[in-house]
Amino acid sequence: MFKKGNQNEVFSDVETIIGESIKVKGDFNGNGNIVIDGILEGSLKTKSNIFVGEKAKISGSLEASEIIINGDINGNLLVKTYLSVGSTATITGDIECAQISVEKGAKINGKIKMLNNLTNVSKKLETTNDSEEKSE
Amino acid sequence: MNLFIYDDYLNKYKKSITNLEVELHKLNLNGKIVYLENIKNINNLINDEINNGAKTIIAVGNNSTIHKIVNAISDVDNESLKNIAFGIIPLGDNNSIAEACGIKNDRIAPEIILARRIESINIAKANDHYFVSEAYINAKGTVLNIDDFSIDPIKGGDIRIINLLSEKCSTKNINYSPKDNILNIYIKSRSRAESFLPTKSVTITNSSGEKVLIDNSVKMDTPVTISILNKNINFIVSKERNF
Repeated sequence: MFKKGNQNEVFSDVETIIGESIKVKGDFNGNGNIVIDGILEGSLKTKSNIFVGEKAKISGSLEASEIIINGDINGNLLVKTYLSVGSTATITGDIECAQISVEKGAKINGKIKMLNNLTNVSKKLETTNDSEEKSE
Repeated sequence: MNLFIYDDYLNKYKKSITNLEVELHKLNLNGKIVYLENIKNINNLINDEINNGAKTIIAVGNNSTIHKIVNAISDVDNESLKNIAFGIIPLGDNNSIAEACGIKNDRIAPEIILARRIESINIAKANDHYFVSEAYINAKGTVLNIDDFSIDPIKGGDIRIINLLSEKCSTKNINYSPKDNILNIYIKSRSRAESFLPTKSVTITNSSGEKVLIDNSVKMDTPVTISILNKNINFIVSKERNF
């Protein structure tokens, strides 16, 4: 699990780092933990966790087990377990998650749907993944 | 049987070569010696020598020597490759591959070859060139395409596609292994921001005339498609290797 706000402490667990200096365009799928400090124009899915840094700018949807957001995102979020929205975060989009925490100063423009239990979210994630695999 | 392949540039290292040959003789590491300058087709040479019973092929030279020999060895079928070991005796400059394998200089290389500690290392391909360590390109004007997405390094810097890491990297908590069938894209911007992505394949394009440098030896015009292969070479390494 990521420790909020401290990217360096989770470095050893990270599979992918989208640093401040790069722009990623398109649909990105991963298995491990992903850190985003740069620009992402497209969707991103992982079976693990996503850490979005303060300087990150994302236009597209994110799906993960756990997400920590400190930057800007214009897109929907589907979070299997826990979403942490930091004080510097700006989210424009709908959120579905099992648990959420929001710090003072965070901006959220969109609907938040709390799923009653983790199974519902897991099923939703699995359905999304299955439909993608079939379409491939 | 051992096959020693000496590179063309070694004339200026006569003293080192003499000392090396004395040491090899002491250790009873004898074998056939061939000089690259006398060889028209290295692929034919390697194939012929393997058919004639060569079990250990030893590059005497630098990264460029290793690159040439790896390109010849990699064309050998996988079954034959399993029985071949590849040793390195570094001489001169540009020896990062030997260093990554824990072979710091020519003086300790014979003992390492004699000890015959083997690590099976993945081979990568850049268009029609095989390579073992990494591909490098300046980030200016470069775009990387992987599956359904592209990576645009907007602030310049350096891009490395790493198989065998040639030196300790600042992102030392991230695992680079030449044995995991994964290439690691490492981007360091001029502002020192780092990015890291694992992949099996990537296509590099460049709009500024920058070239891709593989194994710190050969420059290639873009586009260059780089992929990790289902092919390994048995490198002779020391305990001091980087992986």
